[in-house]
Amino acid sequence: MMMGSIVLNFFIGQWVGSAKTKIPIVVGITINILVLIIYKYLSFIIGSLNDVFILFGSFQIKQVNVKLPAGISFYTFHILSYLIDVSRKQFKPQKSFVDLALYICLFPQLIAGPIVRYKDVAKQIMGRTLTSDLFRAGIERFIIGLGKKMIIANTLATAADTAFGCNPQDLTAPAAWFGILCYTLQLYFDFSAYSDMAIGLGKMLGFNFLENFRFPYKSTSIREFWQRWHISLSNWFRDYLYIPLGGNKKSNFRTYLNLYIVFFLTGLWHGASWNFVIWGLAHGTLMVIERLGFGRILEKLPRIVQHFYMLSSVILLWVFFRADHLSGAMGFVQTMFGKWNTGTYTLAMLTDTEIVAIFIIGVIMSVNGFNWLLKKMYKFSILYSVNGPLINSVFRFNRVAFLLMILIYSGMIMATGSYNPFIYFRF
Amino acid sequence: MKSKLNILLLAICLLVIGQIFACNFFTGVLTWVIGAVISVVGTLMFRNTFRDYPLSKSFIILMFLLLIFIPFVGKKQTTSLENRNLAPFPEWRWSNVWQFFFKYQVYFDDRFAYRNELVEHVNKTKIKLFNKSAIPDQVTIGKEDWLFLSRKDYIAAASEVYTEQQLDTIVLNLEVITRYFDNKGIKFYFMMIPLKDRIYPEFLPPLQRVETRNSKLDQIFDRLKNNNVIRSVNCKQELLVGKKVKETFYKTDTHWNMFGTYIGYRKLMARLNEDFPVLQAYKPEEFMVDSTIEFDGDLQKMFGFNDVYKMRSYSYKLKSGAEPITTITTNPKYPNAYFSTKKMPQKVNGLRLYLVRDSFSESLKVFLAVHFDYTSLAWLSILPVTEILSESPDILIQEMHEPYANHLLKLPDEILQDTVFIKHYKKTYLSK
Repeated sequence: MMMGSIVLNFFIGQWVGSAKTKIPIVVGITINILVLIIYKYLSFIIGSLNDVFILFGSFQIKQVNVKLPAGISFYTFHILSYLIDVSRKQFKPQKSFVDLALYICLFPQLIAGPIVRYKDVAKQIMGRTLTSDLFRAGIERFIIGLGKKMIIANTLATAADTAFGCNPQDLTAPAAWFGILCYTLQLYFDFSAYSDMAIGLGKMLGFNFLENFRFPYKSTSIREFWQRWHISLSNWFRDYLYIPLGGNKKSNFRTYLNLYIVFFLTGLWHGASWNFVIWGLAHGTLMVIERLGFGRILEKLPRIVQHFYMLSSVILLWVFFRADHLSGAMGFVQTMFGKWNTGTYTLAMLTDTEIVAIFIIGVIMSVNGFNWLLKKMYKFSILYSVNGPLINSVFRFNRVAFLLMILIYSGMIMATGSYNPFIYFRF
Repeated sequence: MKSKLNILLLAICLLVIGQIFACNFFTGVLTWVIGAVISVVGTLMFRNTFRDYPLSKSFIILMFLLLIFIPFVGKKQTTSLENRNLAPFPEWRWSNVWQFFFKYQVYFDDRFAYRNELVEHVNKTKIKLFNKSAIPDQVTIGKEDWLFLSRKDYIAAASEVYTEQQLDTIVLNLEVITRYFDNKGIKFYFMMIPLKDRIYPEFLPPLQRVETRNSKLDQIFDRLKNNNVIRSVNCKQELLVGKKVKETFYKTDTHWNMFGTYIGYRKLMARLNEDFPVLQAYKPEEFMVDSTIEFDGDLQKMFGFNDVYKMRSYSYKLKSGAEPITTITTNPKYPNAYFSTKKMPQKVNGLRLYLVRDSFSESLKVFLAVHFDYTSLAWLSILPVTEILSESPDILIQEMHEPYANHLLKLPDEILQDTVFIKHYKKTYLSK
């Protein structure tokens, strides 16, 4: 499937590069989007149409069972990025089939991103220098990612999965809140871990990928959140959809409409389900509200209020992202706000010493708390120490020892569970 | 100095990798010799890369490479901690190339070097740090170090709620089986052993207590309460009372201990006594009872170790010294089942028993066999009707652990295919 895509787009790229009209790029985009729709969205479209038809008692379309190729959303976006960059004459079409194949199926980021724009790696594809320092930096980054996934995300997943695995009416409100908080952290650590590993592996191979996360839960608005969360996806939509649609250069109405279009597609990109569409549109709505003036009001409020607004919005919307069905998401939200009083799954059932410890560590790490603390300690040590080089060595040694401990412990955990899928594999 | 340390570090790493690799093919000093050769050659090849590199940086690179290479170059595991066969090396077929890679992944996951040691260490670490199971979907740690099996399929198999129709089917099937064997002159008894979770709910982790709140055993025996056709034995209540005297289940095992078994045996014998007055359970004082505390338990072993938790065991031995002679047999029709017979050296009462059982009867058979001249045992969850009829026992007992209750939803094929009996049954009992 992927090989077919690469071959086809290699020739489309040549056509786009040599053409003077927009026909080739339109054809290229259409074909790739159609393939994505067939493999990822056809079943969803048929299901949704059947739901409408059933209201009118008319016929039903036969459902199809198409297997989703791994990473199709990611590599389709890579291909589109290549074609659009070539059509904009920013780059010449790839003469080397191998180089194009390398860009599209570069294994560190093939299945779960980040979505590397062609313009960001075009030069590195042609040639790169692998240094010992880059290799070491890659190792360190990879170990950090592995630890985030194996130690933090997977541990918190047990609580989140329990909460979302049972009927919302069986949960107590505190259990539901803890479940979604765990999922909030799990999702960040899972996805950013994968990005860390991809960036780390990239460095080990001589590539420098752009950052994909910059502590999104530190944000004070939804707008800032999207500048820090899944940056590569936001950049992709900004460069290849939002700006071509006119961005914010036209009327206010067009800006808001463009935002809605972008967030509708962002939601749909994450999965073929109405849950994701609602999640995307809700984020779009909050972005529009912030642009309508709420953003300016927010800036005048205390930082803690800004954080509260951003976090409560994001957390509440993660319910729609995580729940299997819309009705399940609604039920979960109702449970969070105490609609039922019938819960048998209590907070105590979701927690244990490890989950609480990892939850606290996760909260601190999600806002870069440990780095802040380490920097303070380092500055303090240097300031009051007579032996600066010794302090440097101690910090360096501790860092190396800590990373190796994470690697060994993560390896031990991996040995206990052969089946360990990444959340973002399904996208 | 720094460059020498770097080169020494590189040499040590290569020596370790080389020695571990050589262990795949050789043993003893030779492995170290091969490791040393690899180390010298590798060091000479890469010395320039590492010579002027800062020690802290080269250390992490070499350690990383060392740690990720060991599972690949080390000796493959040949034994499983999970009480199952390890995946075999996949067969290469041009017709399905991808299948090879999927199967190789399973093969590698099962067998990579030091897997068992890693599993053991992570389990011990988690228990030490958090008193928590690293495999919570297999085993959970309850209060006071009581271990419980927590496999979702196991819990669901014992705790799902039956529909009325399913309960009707179970009762009907048990009635059919009872009458079928009555016709053949064999008295059929059905005995169900509860989950450990039912007897010790106070030690269960809170989540598992909720997940096991429904009991198939309770549902079935509630339905059998007023049934006077089926001869059933439920020892749950007796085990709950008995645990106030002594533990009735092992702390670190899924099974009942010998004291719990004795309670179950007494209940079963009381029921048999109603139809066979000659069968009377031995009294406690007729046994020599010993108690030991030792490291053991199938649940503990699932963690990959057997040296953390201790459990109390009891042994029961008849003071009279009566003991049957055991013979292990095979049956080609059931190649994976375990068959055996127990014969008393002297005639006891002329009665023959056929016990269809699971692992819970490993201890129960010790008590039962001394009451019969001849006992046949089949470790099966379905009734091997042909084999039972060929043995012509006086008594047939089906002992079943609660999670296997769904087997009662289906009649044995041999009974279903006995059209004469089924016709007779429908005419005599169902037409009413």
